[in-house]
Amino acid sequence: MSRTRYDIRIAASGRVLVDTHGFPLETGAVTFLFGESGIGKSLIGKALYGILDPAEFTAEVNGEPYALYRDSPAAAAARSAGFFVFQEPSTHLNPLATLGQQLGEGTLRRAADPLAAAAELFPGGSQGSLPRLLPVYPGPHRPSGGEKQRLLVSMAFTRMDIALAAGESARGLYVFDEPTGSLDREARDRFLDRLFARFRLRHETILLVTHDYGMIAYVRSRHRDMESRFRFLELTLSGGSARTREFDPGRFLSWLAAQRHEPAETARPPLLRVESGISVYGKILAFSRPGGGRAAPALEVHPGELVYMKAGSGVGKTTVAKIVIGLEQASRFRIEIEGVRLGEVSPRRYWRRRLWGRTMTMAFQHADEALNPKASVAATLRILSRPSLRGRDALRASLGRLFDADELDALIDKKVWQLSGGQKQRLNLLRALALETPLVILDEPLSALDFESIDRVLGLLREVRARGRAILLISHNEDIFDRLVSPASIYLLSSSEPPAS
Amino acid sequence: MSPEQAPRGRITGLLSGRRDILWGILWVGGILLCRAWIGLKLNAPARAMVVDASIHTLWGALLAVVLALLLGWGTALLLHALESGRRRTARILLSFALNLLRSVPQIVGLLIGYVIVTALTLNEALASEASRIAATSAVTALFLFQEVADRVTARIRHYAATEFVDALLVCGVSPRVIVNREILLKNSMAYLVQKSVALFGRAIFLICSIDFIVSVGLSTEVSLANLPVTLGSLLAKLDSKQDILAIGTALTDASVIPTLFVEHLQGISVAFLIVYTLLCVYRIANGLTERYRL
Repeated sequence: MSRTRYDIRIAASGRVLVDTHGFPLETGAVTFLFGESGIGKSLIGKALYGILDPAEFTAEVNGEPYALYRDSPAAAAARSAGFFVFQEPSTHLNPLATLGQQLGEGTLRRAADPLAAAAELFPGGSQGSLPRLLPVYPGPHRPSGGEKQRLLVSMAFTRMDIALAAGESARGLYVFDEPTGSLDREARDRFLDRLFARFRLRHETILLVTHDYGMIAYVRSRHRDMESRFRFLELTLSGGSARTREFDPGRFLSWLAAQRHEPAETARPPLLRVESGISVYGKILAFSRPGGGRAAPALEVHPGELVYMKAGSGVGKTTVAKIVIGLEQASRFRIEIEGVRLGEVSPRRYWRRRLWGRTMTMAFQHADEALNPKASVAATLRILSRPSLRGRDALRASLGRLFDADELDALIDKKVWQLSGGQKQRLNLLRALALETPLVILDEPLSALDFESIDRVLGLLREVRARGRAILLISHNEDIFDRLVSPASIYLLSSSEPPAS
Repeated sequence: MSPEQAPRGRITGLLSGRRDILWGILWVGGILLCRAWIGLKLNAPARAMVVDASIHTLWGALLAVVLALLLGWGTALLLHALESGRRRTARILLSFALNLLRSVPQIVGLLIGYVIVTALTLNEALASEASRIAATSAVTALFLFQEVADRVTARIRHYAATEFVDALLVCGVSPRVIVNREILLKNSMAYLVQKSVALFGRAIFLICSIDFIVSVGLSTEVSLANLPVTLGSLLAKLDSKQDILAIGTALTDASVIPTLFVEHLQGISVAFLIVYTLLCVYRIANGLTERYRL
């Protein structure tokens, strides 16, 4: 193993986006790069791999123009023998070719079986759900994000298999940019297992960009023998630009071990009750409990309770949340909010007049899309017209729940588009929680956050709960929420085809 | 040295990628230069007419744009309210009425409007010059506002499908505030400013064209002499026509060229003001499109 340090500076439109010194990349090792979204992790990955767009960015690597690094023999060799898995699967896949065609195109044509790696990542292998995906042309909604992501990483695996079969020396650079963002824990763990199985055979250079700190727990428990070849880094925002530091995995593990179940509050009548058997988009969605028990129970959220709804990616967690909040229409559903029964025939205006912002609200999954990019941070909160948000001091107090005190003054007047992904997510959560509605639905509240912010958000959720507010959580951060939420408050969502009539 | 550090002149740096501002400066500069030249070389009565015509035309066009914006914005909001309130019949009726108006050629519609303005002038309902300018601007706005309505509707529809609108709705924010403040004021200003600039050019063109066309008079009692003088009507005057014809002579007789800017100044300056303004406004609108990537 040899470690190369890189000074990387990336700017766009005169604004410095990344200015990191001594970024360590070890050949023949797996480097985990953690950190909140939107601060330059992907840019570093693209810069090192040599695919930064010169029309969009101005970059320097080790003080020299980027083109010199990109065209150097070492970088070109690492690129041609490696693979880059993009964060957003839709941008990686060609909508004009079927998935089956794309699994075996370009250098992947040399693979003995281009579908073998993909079969490892889908339950049931080549006899499971994979064959029905192969003739599909990728579109925005089909296949699901999780399916696209698995197909993409399988391409990288195929590239690894080709190099292994050819007996090439390990010289490729493999960059996985948020490869598990759309995967549930089971799929994520399967991906890690298959990746490290290959890595054991050939020590390629792997950069794994992620904000899923939960990976650490799994890697430590299942792949401890490889620890000498794992590097953990964290990218942090400092003085407006991103800097890299070593991340101590033990810090996360001891923090995780210290998390305790929040007691289930079921003494009072439920604030929200959602019956199993929601019929939507030709599927039937039903709840179950982790330990089995009564078939298809109703999901209940009591005042002061933290309820966790989980499911595999693409099952319909967000759809259920949107049906409950009144943004999505289902063919059949039954819910009860504060004793009022609602269903598919209930008028939409009931939600608008009685529920939104009064009884319940929701923080959406993608803060990038859920906030108005042209609004300032102050305006994002002030629009709620809450007396508790009047005046600059009140705003500072509210923002101070999730932001550092020394960054508040600069933050308040910033536009949303100027914030990092993590800052946006914190603002997104604060906006929903500032309303102090009896019930708040949080869709992936920990996505895009770094470790410190995760700790703060969880502290805030405890505070909200302690004040008697109920929280319905949707998250794929099972490593964290399985420890935090009482099993009595966890519901599994599953989907099935409606019975033929 | 990286490109963002490359030295750049102060002015060049300021105007880089801002062609709208550059053409705005050129427009004002050209108008001032023309004003200074006619101040030196054109006789006082003709000079006063050119200045009055310019002011009337520009004010009339500006008022037409403001009215078109108000009317277009209001129409789009009404259409959106009918659509989201699921009042299908009312929406269809309003759309039909708007399409009916859209089907009338602008120039024909304006001529009809001018007949009405003429009738009102005859009845002394429009006694002052300002009221007649306002009336002609209103007529012009009536045939421009649908472009604003289309753009506002497109912006509302674009954002209605985004998550930030849903996120604000479930926070209890009123749809009226979301549409007007969050979508239109915060996210569509560049689009509306660009549209307003383009409409300003269109309004000048329409006003000048119609004034030129009706220069023969709309009735025996009321003619352009009764309506405020504009660049279009001034261009239709006999003196100006002769000046314009002199340009044609200059094409075959080069010795006429030096006299164009002294002896034929009224017509030449009016033609210059119209053409140069239209060119600059067109360039400003294009510059805005480029700068904001609209």
